[in-house]
Amino acid sequence: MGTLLIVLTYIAYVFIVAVYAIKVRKWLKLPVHIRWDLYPVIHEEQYRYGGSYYEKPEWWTQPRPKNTGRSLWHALKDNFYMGEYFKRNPLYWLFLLPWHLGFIFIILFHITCFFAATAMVGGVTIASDSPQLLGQIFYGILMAFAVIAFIGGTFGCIGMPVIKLADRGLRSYAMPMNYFNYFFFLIVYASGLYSWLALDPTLAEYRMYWVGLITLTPPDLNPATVFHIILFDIFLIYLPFTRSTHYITRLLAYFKIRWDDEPNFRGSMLEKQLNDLLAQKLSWDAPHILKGQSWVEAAISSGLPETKPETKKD
Amino acid sequence: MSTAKIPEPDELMQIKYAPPQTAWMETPVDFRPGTWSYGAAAKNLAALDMPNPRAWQPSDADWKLPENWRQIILDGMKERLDKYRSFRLFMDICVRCGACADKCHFYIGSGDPKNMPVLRAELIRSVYRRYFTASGRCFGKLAGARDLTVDVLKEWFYYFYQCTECRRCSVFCPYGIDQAEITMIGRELLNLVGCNINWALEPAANCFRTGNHLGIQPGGIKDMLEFLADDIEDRTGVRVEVPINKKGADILFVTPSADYFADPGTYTCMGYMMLFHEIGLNYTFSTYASEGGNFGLFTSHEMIKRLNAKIYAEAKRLGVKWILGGECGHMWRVIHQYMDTMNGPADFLEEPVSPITGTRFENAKSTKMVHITEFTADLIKNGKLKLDPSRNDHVRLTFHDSCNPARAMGLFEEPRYIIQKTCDHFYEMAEDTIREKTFCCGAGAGLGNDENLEMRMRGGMPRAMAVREVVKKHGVNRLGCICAIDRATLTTLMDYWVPGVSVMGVHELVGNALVMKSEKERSTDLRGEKIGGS
Repeated sequence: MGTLLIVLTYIAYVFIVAVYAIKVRKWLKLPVHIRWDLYPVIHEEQYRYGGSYYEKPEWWTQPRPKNTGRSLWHALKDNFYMGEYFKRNPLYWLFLLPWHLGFIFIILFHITCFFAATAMVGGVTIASDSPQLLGQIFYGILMAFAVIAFIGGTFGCIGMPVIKLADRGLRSYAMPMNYFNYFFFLIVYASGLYSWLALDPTLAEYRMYWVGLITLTPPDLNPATVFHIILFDIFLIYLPFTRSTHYITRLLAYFKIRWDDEPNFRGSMLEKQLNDLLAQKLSWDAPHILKGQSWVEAAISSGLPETKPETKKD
Repeated sequence: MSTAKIPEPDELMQIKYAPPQTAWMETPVDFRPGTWSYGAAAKNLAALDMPNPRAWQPSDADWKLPENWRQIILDGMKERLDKYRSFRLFMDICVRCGACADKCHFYIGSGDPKNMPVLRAELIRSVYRRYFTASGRCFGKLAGARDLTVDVLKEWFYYFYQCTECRRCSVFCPYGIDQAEITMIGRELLNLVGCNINWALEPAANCFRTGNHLGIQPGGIKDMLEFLADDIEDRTGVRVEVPINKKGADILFVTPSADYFADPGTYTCMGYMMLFHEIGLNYTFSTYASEGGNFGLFTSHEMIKRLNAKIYAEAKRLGVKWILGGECGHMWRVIHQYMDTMNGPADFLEEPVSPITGTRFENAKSTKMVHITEFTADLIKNGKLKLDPSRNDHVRLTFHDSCNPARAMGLFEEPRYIIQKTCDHFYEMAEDTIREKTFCCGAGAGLGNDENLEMRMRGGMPRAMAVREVVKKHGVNRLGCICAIDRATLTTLMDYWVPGVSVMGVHELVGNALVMKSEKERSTDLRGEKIGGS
């Protein structure tokens, strides 16, 4: 069983990374956008009055400082407090926020488990009374992450379908698949909650499991913990097919569409991408666009019907 | 002219926000008179070489679609999913959080849930799921997917032509989705089977034929501009020149045709002409590039390019140095975002430099086209104009940021700078209704027609309520803007919601305040109303 668990876990992690990578690659391989122009542009110095580096002379030759911190905060702030929901529907927010925190923290918990297990392999003891400070810190972080994930996730998964079914407005626009997700994720979180509360209050089994993963040594775990880990692995495999992709696509939408404003320098990668695009053939034609033209041929034509020189008849 | 009865304002204000009893996919679209626009006439589709020209109306049961219409749409979707990273991502990314819902003026004014940008996008996203995602193909409705049917197509038509592409929702989307882009793609797909609205296509066809939306021939343009020069002479005693198609002029001036055709745009146009005369600008109007507006923006990217081509072509023919553009909304989205790559490079033009102040307009170095408020603000800043703001004392002004110059250009300060130098009674509307958060007039993107009047009044209601607030607080009687569609449609909106408030362009203020050399004593403004106090 322990071996199967290790194999399944590796498959799950490879799968989720591979599928996300394929999806991201697909999105990134789509044609680039030129500057999107929706003002104010948050990362620019002049954003407060709707300005941009276009105002500077020879702007492409000058530094174009971007405030990455401000733009990242703008793109990600909603993940952590969901202020719009709180302002408009506090009751919904009460369930929605823990539902999202469950997602974020269960993944953070497992990532931290990996580092903690690595430390354990290196001789660190992970415990509240560990002789090493690092061991105490890992213990505290792991407990905090797990508690938020299991309690928040379970609470959110129960609350979300209840409030969606109770509110006609929300019910109208929920898909059946949403309810399946709530149910499935509830089992994932609740199994973890049970395992922690009833059997493993210090979360020692997860650390053993992660040490087993790193050292390829099948761990001997309680069946309830095994059940949760199997569910979590399935959760990882299922995740790329859900709307969870928005954690990645949001960054792409901001940084690769809205804020992708690099100038097209001679010899740059961008120039190569644009040249490849311009070589594509048009899929349509009209009197002012000739069949079989490439994008570049269409771009450099006037867009008006060509006038043909008159031929004299004798 | 539509005969649809428009409810009284009090009645219209009774908006029901409760969703319908049936699920949204099972709630068919209701083409209620007053809420939709007439279908594009066959002659206009044919004039623009667009598919499926025929006589039809959206209220007809049979839309006379091509036999393989579904395949045409799905092929069109696939092509656009492969072509636009934005379209693919915007289809995949939305979590239906609803942050955009109450930002849309049409949802606020109608309470129709399908006017929430999130659900308007879901109309097309549900079809995307069905044909282009594994979960949609496998689980259908369970995964929020649905088949593309004629009813779905009708729903697209109704709601994508109830979006003004103003992009207010896009400012608030926490995921960075630009909902206007989805509407634009939705409209492109509808165009593939000949479903457009006449109020977008007739101006486009006119533009293709004559150079301007209204189909005015060169002689008509000359007559109207000279008529405006007569009016200026009557008000000021100064005869301004009307340069038309003047080869060798320094600057080609391009403005929306509504500026020289219809009030109150004509007063704005008089303002331009007085300004250019006063500073001795060597400029010209063109009877070919006689339209700044571009209804291609409401049709397809290809149509944008096609209609915009005339501006550079005419600049080249006339041999001007650079181009100056008038007060217009969507025209500037096209120029600022598309013109350079669609019709450029304009390497036959010079980098724009003001011949009066010597200022180099670096921001327009590539397009070679400068916004009139940038040009005028620069003149004022350099002390080149003698202005008497007291001549606008009868005007208690508030300013409506037109959607495209605001959100697509970031042009927030220049018009305000001009206003502050030409008018002593200026009052801003509420903070969340101006600048990038400005509310739409409710009639952009081809929707400013009469048959759609109820929807216009609903969509314009949030803007009108913000105006009403400053009317109550400060006695505002004039709404300024820098968009020709705004000048035309806000007038109707104000008459309906806030009677007593009239609409003006910023250069009408300039024309009023401008102290011209050898002018007679001015007793009236450009409208012929008494100046200097109410």
